[in-house]
Amino acid sequence: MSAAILSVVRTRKAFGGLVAVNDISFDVAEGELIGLIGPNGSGKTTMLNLISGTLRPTSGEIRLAGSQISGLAPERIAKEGIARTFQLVRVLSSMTAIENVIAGAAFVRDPAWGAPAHTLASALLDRVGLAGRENVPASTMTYMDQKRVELARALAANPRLLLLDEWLAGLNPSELLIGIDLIREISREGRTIIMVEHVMDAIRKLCSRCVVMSSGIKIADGATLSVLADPEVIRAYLGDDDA
Amino acid sequence: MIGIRRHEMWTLFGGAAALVVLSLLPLLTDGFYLSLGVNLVLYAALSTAWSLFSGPTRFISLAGAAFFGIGTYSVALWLNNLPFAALIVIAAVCSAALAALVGAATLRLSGVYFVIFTLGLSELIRQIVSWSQSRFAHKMGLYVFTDFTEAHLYWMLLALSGVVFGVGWLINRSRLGFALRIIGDDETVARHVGIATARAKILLFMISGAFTGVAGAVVAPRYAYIEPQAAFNPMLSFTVVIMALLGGTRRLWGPLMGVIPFTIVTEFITARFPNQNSVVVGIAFLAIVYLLPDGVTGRIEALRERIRISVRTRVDAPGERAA
Repeated sequence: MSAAILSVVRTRKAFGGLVAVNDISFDVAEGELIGLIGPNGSGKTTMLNLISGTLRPTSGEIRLAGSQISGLAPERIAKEGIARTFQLVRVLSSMTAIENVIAGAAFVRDPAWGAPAHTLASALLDRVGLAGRENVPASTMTYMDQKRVELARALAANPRLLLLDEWLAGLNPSELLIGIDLIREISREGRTIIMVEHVMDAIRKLCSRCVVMSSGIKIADGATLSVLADPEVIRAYLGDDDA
Repeated sequence: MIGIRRHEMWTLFGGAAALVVLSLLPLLTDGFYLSLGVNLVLYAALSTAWSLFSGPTRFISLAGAAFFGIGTYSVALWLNNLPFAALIVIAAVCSAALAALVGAATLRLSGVYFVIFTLGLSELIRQIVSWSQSRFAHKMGLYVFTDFTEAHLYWMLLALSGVVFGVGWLINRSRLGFALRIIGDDETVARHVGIATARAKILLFMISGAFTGVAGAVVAPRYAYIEPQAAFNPMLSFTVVIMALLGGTRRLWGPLMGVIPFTIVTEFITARFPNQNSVVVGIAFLAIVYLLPDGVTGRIEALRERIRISVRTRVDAPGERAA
């Protein structure tokens, strides 16, 4: 394994008395695709929000390739090379598909604008399966296609770390297969990815490693199959009787 | 987006031609219609400048009177010491500086607080100017005597409108304009694609404020006697907003579609019912919000879309019958 691109060090986020993320630590190596899983309300999305800068940690540190990013504004973190999709899909509704993707490329560290941005965005739409749909208004697209647009927008930033927040949620079985293949291909291109996901099938197929959270605490971290067989993980998901 | 495309060439050419034709007005008339023309180009500049910022961000600013008054006072205070061109630069710089301060303090807040703050700010500045004039200068206003005729003011304001349109056009094709459209759609997404949203908004608020200040400076000689009640008149802020909303703020030329009918109707009402002016403006405001939420241009585009769809279905119809 190569050096860690992302290091989360004893990161905590408290909302008043509620500790949503409780001193979590984990590393992500360059090129890795890890799953961040856990039952509802276990703090997974809060963790992603801390990494992407939507929220500031109460304490602890997050480093990207060695330099501290915790505490920076989201736009600074985006410029440092972290791109994300959202749990509830967020396309720019007044714009076309290609404009949505250009938005991802135009304001990062090595911005693309004008003709090169068009070429890049067009290639990425092709990449996520939306060839020829460049000028369709994003608001008129299906849920699946809006998710594709959002993924292309995140890829347009050429991020060092890609965060997928339940990107596969809400897809029907055949869309799910296409989605899994797409994430696998992107991962094979060498992109480092953290995916928060409830679809266990996808986690098994895609992630070699998983971090499991429950009530804000990290309860397991390791190879996906052994983690999913861990009694504590099963207890967190299913309750005491089934462990 | 970098090179100038063919249809953009036509837009530029059309805009330049319109400016040339409009600049001939003072040669044809110098009475009521020239005065109406001055109002038209003044409000065209003010409303378009307002919607440069408020259109994409959807922040309603009522600080127009503050910038306008600062521009007017820049001329009134230093008219005898400095050339007029320098006063216009001072007006632009002072208004932009005020916009930067207001923006840094308030643009992180949500829309409602921004509206109230900008309205309060204009009133605050008006009170400060009134107070300092009576305290230190022992008078209520300042005289502005120049050799400018109504025709000169018309030409200067027309040129200003042209510049506002030109700058607006450049912003729309720039990354700044694109950033503001993203912010208008979804500020969270904007930040996560790397846009410093606060800075982008402040920058545009400064540009918008500077133009408003320059309009105040240019039109100052028309008043001859400047006092705070007139220079910082809150009615100006409201009128500019109403005109822009009537026209629609989604297109650069949208506010113009509100300025033309509103200015003409207001002139007519002021001539006929001088005492019911504010009542009529209030009713007009309500009517616009209820009947034309997207403005005249929004209505025009909706109609155009409906025609396009009906044409297409008519074309499709024979094919369907064959099937």
